This record gives sequence, C-alpha cells and structure tokens, in this order.
Amino acid sequence: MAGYNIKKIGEYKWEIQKDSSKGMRVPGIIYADENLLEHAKSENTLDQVVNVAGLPGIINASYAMPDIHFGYGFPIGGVAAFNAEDGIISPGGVGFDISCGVRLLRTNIEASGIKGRLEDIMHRLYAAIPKGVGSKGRIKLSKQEMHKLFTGGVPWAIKSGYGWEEDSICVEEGGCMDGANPDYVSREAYERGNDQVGSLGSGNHFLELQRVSKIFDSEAAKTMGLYEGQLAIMIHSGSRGFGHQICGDYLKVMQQSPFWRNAGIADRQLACAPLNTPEGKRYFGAMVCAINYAMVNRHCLAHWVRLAMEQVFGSSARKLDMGLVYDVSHNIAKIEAHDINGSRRKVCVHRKGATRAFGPGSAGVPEVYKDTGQPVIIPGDMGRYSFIMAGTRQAMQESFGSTCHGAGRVLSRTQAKKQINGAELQRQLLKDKGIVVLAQSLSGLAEEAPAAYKDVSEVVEVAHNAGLSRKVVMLEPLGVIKG
Amino acid sequence: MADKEINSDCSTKNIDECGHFSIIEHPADIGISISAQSLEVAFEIAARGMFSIICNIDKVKPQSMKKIRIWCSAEMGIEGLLILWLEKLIYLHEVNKMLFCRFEVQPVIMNFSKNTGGAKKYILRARVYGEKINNSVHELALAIKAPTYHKLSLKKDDVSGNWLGTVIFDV
Repeated sequence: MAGYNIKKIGEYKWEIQKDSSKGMRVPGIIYADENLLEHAKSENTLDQVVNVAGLPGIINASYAMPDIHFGYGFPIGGVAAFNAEDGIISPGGVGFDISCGVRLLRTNIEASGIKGRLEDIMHRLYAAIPKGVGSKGRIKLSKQEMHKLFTGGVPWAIKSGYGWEEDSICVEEGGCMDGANPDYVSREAYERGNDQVGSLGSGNHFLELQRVSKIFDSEAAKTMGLYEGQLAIMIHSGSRGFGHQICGDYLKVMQQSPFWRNAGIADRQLACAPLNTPEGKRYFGAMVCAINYAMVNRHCLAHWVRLAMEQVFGSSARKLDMGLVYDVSHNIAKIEAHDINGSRRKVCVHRKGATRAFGPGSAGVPEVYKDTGQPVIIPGDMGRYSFIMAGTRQAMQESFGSTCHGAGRVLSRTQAKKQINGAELQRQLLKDKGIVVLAQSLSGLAEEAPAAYKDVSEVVEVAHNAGLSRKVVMLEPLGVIKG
Repeated sequence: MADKEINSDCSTKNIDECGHFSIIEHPADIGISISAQSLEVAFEIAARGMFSIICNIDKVKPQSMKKIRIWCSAEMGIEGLLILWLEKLIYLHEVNKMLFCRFEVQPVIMNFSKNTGGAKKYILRARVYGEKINNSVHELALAIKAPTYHKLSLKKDDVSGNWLGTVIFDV
C-alpha cells in the first residue's frame, strides 16, 4: 500500500492521484478527516479504493465515504459508477447482504412518558419480531408469491395486508425497483428466502426504540415529522439468506464469464461483468429481486412493530401516528441519471456500505421531501446515538448523490468477545443509561458492544462538513433488540 | 486463540488422520485457518470450523444425515469447491433449520467430461450429520452470511504434505 500519492484537495477531501502503474483508470477520492484517513491507511483500505479505481469503465473516481473500512473487493463505504449500457456490475460492489438498509418510523409518543413501561414494551416487541441465527419470519411464501414479491415489492406487501397504503411513498424507489427477473434467481435462493421474509437476522442488525434527542435542522425535522423528545423506531435489516445466496451464486457465475477470464483482475471478490452481457443482465435481474425482498422484509417488520405497539398502548398505530419517515438501502447498485462533465448520463452506481443522499429537487425524492432532500438514516451503536441526515445538491455533484452509512468497528469480533461479557454489558447499559437490551445471543451481543464500534458522530460530522449530507436530528437508544 | 484438536468427529478415523482449525481475527468478520492431512479432512475441518462459529458444536448431536453432492468447474480451483461446500452447508442449515457436527467427505474426484467438451470439474460427495436447531441447547452465536474469496486458500504444503487453508466469512 506504500507509494500512493495522496493530496488534500479540500478540508475533508483527499485524492489518491491516478497512477496507471497501479492499474488505476481514475483517481480515488476519500472524504475523511485526518483521523479517519489514518484509520483507513492502517487497515489497508486504500488498496481497495485503488483496486476499484482499476475496474474497466469506471467513471470519474473511486469514492470512499467517511466511514470507509476494509471490505471484500470493494471497501465498505465505497461508491463507484459505470456506464449503464455497457459498463460493469459487480456483486462485490453491492455486498452479500443485498439492500441491507434502515427504516425509521415516527410516533406521537413522548419518550419520557414510557420510562416505567420500557421493559414491558421491549419484551412485547421482542416477542413480535422474528430474529436470530437460523430464524424464520412469520410468513412462508410459495414460489408464485415470491414472484409477486420480487416484481411487486412493498406495494405488493401492502395489497397483501401489511403496512399502510402511503408507506411506499417514503421507501427508496417507491418500495419496488424496476428490473426484477425471478427467472435469474436460483432454487437455493428461493428455498432460503421463502420463510425469512419479516425476520431481523443477527449480527449488526437491530430494532431500536429511540428518542429524538437533538435537532440540528428544525425545518427539515418538521418536514420529516420529527421533534425533540419524540419516540421513534429504527429497523436495520436486509435481504437475509435470499440475498446472500444470490451474491454467492453470481460471484461464481461472473468468475466463469468470458469477460472476467480476460479482465486480468486478481481479486475474485471484484468479479464483474458488463451489464449488456448475459452474466451482467442475470445478476442485475436477480439483484433487483433481492432489493425488493429486503424492502419488503423491513416493511413487514415495521408492520409487526405497529401491531405490538397497538397492543401496548391500546390505541391504533394511526392514532399513535406511527408513520414512515423513510426506508433506504446502503448495499445496492442502481441505474441512475447523473450530470457528468456537462451531460446527463445513465450510470450504474454501486453503493457498498454507502447511502443514497439525493438533494432537494432530485428525481426520485418523494414530493414531501422535495425541498428538504432525501432523508438519510445513519445507525450508530446501541449505547450512543444514530442520526438522520438529508441529501444535498453537493452530493449530487460530487459523489453520485452518496454519503456514509454508519461507523466501522474498532475491535474485531474475537477481541470484543474476549474483552466484553454480554450479560454484563446488558446490565451496565440498563444501570448506567437506562437502555433495555434484549438479545437472542449474549456472545453476539458482546460482539456488538458500543466499545467495538467507532463513534458514528465523527463520521456524520465529516459527511456534514464535506457537504455530502446535512445533519437533521440525533436519536438516542432507549431499547435495543438484537438477533 | 489456541488451536482446537478434533476428537469427536474422528471416531471412524485414526486421530493422526485428522486435522485442526483455528479462528482468524478479522477487523469486521471472522475466519478460520485449516490444517489437515488429506484434502477430504480439510473439507471436514473447514465445515467444523464454520459451525463452531455458528454455535457450540460440541452440543450438537449427529441425529440425522444429509447427503451432499456438489461439483464445480476446475477453472474455479479447489478453493472454489471449498466455497461451494461451505455454501451448501449454510443452505442446508438455513433451509432445514439444522446444525451439523459430523462430516464424512469422500475423496474429491476430478472428472473429465466428453459432454462438456472435456472441461474438467471437481466432484465432492459427503454425508453430514446433525440435528434440528434448539436455541436452548446449542448456544447459537453468530449467523454466517457466506464464505468469501478474501484471503481464500487451500493448498498442499510441499514440506509437510498437509493441506493448509484459510477462509474468511462474512457475518
């Protein structure tokens, strides 16, 4: 990794200068402060930024968001765009958990008013939400129903009785991305996915009861229906085994494609194919099935959250004003139109551990947010805070409308398990901060301890100061459910 | 972390024929390194290592059996077969809601097929034993999304003759 020529080109912007001897076709652009940049260097993450910069047909730059850290092929926090017609698409540029993402529900409940009932509420939610290793959802779908899910997305789920009619407006892509092709989904993916819809998963996935603790942008917060002291609910989950299988399937398919055989790229996790080849088309069609699956997954989880809250409060979710603020993915590849060197072009934007952050007035942003910019949900760890941001015009100009997605780890999973006891962590969070944590696996909980993660506020500050997205509110955890 | 010697699933084998795995630290995920005296045992050890990440494998009983037959083109390499093997086990784990503790892998075959124009492929057959997941018994720890190609290796060491390998898992 030694020998990269890194130049500071803005207060929070660095360039790895294009170097053909390292296979780079474009420069690397990193959004970071000195501390985050040093961390990226120490993990050899910049090697991955450089490797992506060598992919055929990459446009403008290989981008690294402020939460950049080491991934598989693409770095986590990596953004790269390719020509939509004959540019490449890479499963590694999306990730195994296709369309992993976050959803935020608001309420009209004062967080301070639930202190005495918090444990009861959390236990009810824990019972209502399928989660954990080997877990299945509360729905089992036939192949035919899965076809409808892939091609109908959240609107199909709404017609099937889950959620509210208006929910799809505030889901990325209206809750259903075009281009799903069920014929490109393997039997194994069907079988893994048919009973996992509406399940949280495990690892860093969670459901949190949160309190809006700070307002940075009062106008944007008002548009989002958020105010200080309010109770909100955040869900972090993805496409489950269905998406993982599709990624694995197509990493193999791509490695055996004529294009890849001639590409001369050593890292198999960067396996890719042009969108206009059979392999590229098939991956795209299957990937979109997984994207729609993930959005429906979070939608169903939110549906059961509303039902559980109705039981707790003895009032309808509508009377509790449990509307959807937004639902957005942070592992995705999308066909989008962007202004590039003065002309409008369709490109395939890969965001791996990066969130779409479309600015005010952008196509694809719901009407209600046209002046605010698209909400961006940045989950933090279970002991500190999460953030809601809004997309900016500057992100549209600089990073294909992209920003960060969260904070990376500072402790490995084995280090965290050695240093932290899950049961003790649970007790400590309750005693010191009043946070109720319920988890299926206490060893898994230890791995997800706050001390294992970087402080997400540092990442958010850089994203805000770099102009990629602007802070709207901060939320603090009250109750946490982990698988 | 100390290497773990394998005992219980070598009941049909001489202990000398077995191998071992150890956990590899990774910034965000987790991996295993493998050492085995034969290719087939390397696959068995890799499986055991993976399920040791998912649960307390010593609490899993070999109550029922699944047969596995997989193949991949030789172009993908023996490492590609290893990935396919581990993916198949994850598939069986999720679809059947099972955990596996004992693995019997038959000698890996390389096959030349006239039907595929002489393209070579690796074929693996195995029997795997385990039981249905029981949350209160098996101490479930971590779900594995997939084995990755990152630092993936499986090679015969010229000096020792052992098969040495590394697999990192996305969790």
